[in-house]
Amino acid sequence: MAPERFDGLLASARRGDEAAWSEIWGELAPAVLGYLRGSNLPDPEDTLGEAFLQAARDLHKFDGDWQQFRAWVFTIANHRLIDARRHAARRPMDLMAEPPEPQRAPASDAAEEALERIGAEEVHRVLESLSPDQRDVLLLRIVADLTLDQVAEALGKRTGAVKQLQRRGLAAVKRQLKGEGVTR
Amino acid sequence: MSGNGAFQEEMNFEDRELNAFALATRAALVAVPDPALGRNLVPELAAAAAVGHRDEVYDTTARPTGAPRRSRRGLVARIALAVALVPALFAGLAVAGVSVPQPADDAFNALGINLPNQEGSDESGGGSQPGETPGTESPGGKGNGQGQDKQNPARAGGRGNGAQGRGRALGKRGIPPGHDGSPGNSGNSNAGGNGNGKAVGKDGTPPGQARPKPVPVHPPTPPKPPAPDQSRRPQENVGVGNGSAGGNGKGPVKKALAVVSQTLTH
Repeated sequence: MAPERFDGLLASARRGDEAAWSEIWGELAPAVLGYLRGSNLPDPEDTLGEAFLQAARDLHKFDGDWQQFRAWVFTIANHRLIDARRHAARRPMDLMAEPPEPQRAPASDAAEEALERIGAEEVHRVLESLSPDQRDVLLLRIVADLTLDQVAEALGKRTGAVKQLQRRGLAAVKRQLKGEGVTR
Repeated sequence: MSGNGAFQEEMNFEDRELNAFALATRAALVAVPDPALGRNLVPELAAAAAVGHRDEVYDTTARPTGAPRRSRRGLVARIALAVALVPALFAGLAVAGVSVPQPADDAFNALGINLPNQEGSDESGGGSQPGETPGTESPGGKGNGQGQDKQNPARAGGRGNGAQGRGRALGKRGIPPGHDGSPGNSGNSNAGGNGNGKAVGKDGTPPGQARPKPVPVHPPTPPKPPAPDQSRRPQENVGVGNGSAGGNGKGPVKKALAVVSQTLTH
């Protein structure tokens, strides 16, 4: 997004313009939802709504460009994800009907081809085999497309630690894809 | 993808398996949320952002004009109170027997207030009351009216011993109480005792007379600037005056209250 366009969008969103928020929602919500879905939350859309509401409440504190805004929203989503995990750990999981699978966002031909080859279930299986930290790092790198520094800021870790988690996580993914075991 | 391609730029995706996994992960996870959620949530997001924006505007505009004014008023009141308490503090210290700094003493003197128990004060801190019945001692007992003059030891010290009773009573710069520097009228000496008392300085010399070697009564203090009436000589103080010799036996609290009320009146 062009800087000038984002500045106007941000100013409108701060004033409470619904059109601006609709555009932000359309741009960011699928990726944030993908990050939350990959984290095995029982109700990722609920957490998505909480994260965006928090972002709207704190928008007057934000200052930066579009990439920083994306990283900021994912940071908030990560905080809500931690809260949701704690909440889920305190309460037994409710037995309810599995939520309907959301409509997949349009992907490139290469992505579609890769998904056909690996399969969505295999993706979930590999992600579940990772440690939570490795999974968070890989999801923020792959799905949210954040830089190492932005991931470090979102997770409250040092960049070197994030780099290490990424390296080990990718090695684990490789072993899983080759049918080997996972060492954490 | 609305990202910045950070993952591809930073990762070496020569590994086709990892590349395929990244693409498959995006395709599998990134999904459009329920449209109903977006329809319901977007107005809430706009409203929440507007509230935060209004709060921020209020914080940056309203508060600077309102709050500092309140605090400034309070600051002025506190400063005024502190300034008003300074004279009362000095007066209280003086009543308690503490030597206040000379500038403060001068300031009081300029207002016509003589602080008690001061080195240069005309008042004496205690002693017998003039004309008191022989043999009685005033409640003030020993006063603190010992005069000190470091520059002219001849003016310092001295203790007025009445024929009956005791009372140290010295005036300004070591002049015996009641002495104003000029040869006084005879009679009515009351330096610490009754009217028939004889004011005797320390070491047996009459008050105000020079002694061979000064013996400071109090710990040394910085030299004071010469008093305006420097031309007065010790010999001039031999006369016996009719000043008061050391207080009237009031308690220090009453005196403090009197001084404070006098200060506040001024």
